[in-house]
Amino acid sequence: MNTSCLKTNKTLHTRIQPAPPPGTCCAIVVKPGQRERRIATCCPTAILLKRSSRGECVGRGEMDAKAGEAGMQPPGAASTSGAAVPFGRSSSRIGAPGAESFDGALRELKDLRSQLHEAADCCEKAFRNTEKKKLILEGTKSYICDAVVAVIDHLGTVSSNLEHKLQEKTDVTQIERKINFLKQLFEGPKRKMVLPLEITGSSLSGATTLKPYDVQPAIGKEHTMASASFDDSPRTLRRSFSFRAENQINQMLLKLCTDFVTIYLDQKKMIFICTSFQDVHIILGDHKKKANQGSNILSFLKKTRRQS
Amino acid sequence: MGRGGGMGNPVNVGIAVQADWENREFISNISLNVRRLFDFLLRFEATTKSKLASLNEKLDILERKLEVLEVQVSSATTNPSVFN
Repeated sequence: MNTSCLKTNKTLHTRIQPAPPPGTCCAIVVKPGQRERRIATCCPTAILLKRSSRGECVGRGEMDAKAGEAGMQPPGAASTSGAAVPFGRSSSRIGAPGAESFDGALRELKDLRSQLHEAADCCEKAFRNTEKKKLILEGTKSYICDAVVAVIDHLGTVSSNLEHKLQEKTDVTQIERKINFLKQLFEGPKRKMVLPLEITGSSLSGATTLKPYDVQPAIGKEHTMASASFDDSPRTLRRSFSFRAENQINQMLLKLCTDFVTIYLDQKKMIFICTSFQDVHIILGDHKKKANQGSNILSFLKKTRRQS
Repeated sequence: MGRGGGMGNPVNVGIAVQADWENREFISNISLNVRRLFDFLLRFEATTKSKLASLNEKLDILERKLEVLEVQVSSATTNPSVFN
């Protein structure tokens, strides 16, 4: 068989192995029993030919070759009526380098559009100019079938690639983890700085919850907590800080109590305290009760003075 | 000849009708497949749009988080004593 591409006038290769380099051929003849193969980058007007077991050329290439020999079809029409396959429907299955990626598959799909338009024009021209309308019609039918299958194949490739890329999302999750890690790094010292303020504020506001009578065990606990190592978790930090604040308040209350006792034991100061008590009650308007209370306290102080 | 032509004409017409029906069947098959393809494309567009929208939302959230971190880093560099 000695055929050449009717569009580019290049000699057709008749061997599969070694595969012709891109740009040097327009067709690959497939041996019997083998699948059609085509290098998508070699030529957009590649012709697929099949060789039968008897060595004859069959398939679309045969029809085009015969039509070309008969001179019934114009070169452009002959190359696209049935033989010119502008789509590599097996390119995605073979695993062409461009089809592996989403961009490559999308590019091939975009290229299909112009090629299909061109093929449709050529088929129309061939059908009008030739007398073998049935042959052209059959070729066009098979071409349409192949085109639909190729488009579906390309769409499947594109959609699967896109789906795969959207489902991966590994980069997004990695970035999210990194950002969360950085956020925790930044929020760690901030929380350490802010927590005591929060705790002191809350403890002061909720002072009724504190137990001033449990000073001793609290102090003991404080020592144990001070000796213990702090964990980094915010809960333990919060607990430790709240415990510290509570102990501080308890210490202050204890100091106040001791001061109050010392002042109470001092007689001179005690009078002052009682008078201040009286003043307070006078201000409140309960004169009688305050006078009685004040006299009671004064009598008690006098008694203690006499005893001393 | 006239009879033969008369007998032949219906045969030819029958063949032509059969061919016409075959062509119609082929066209209907092709149009059905094209419609299916179109439906698939519509569904594919819808699902892809929704997925891309969710991805865009995630990326927006990450962008905001990054901006917050950037501000925190800038504040830490300007006033490092706060974080010590």
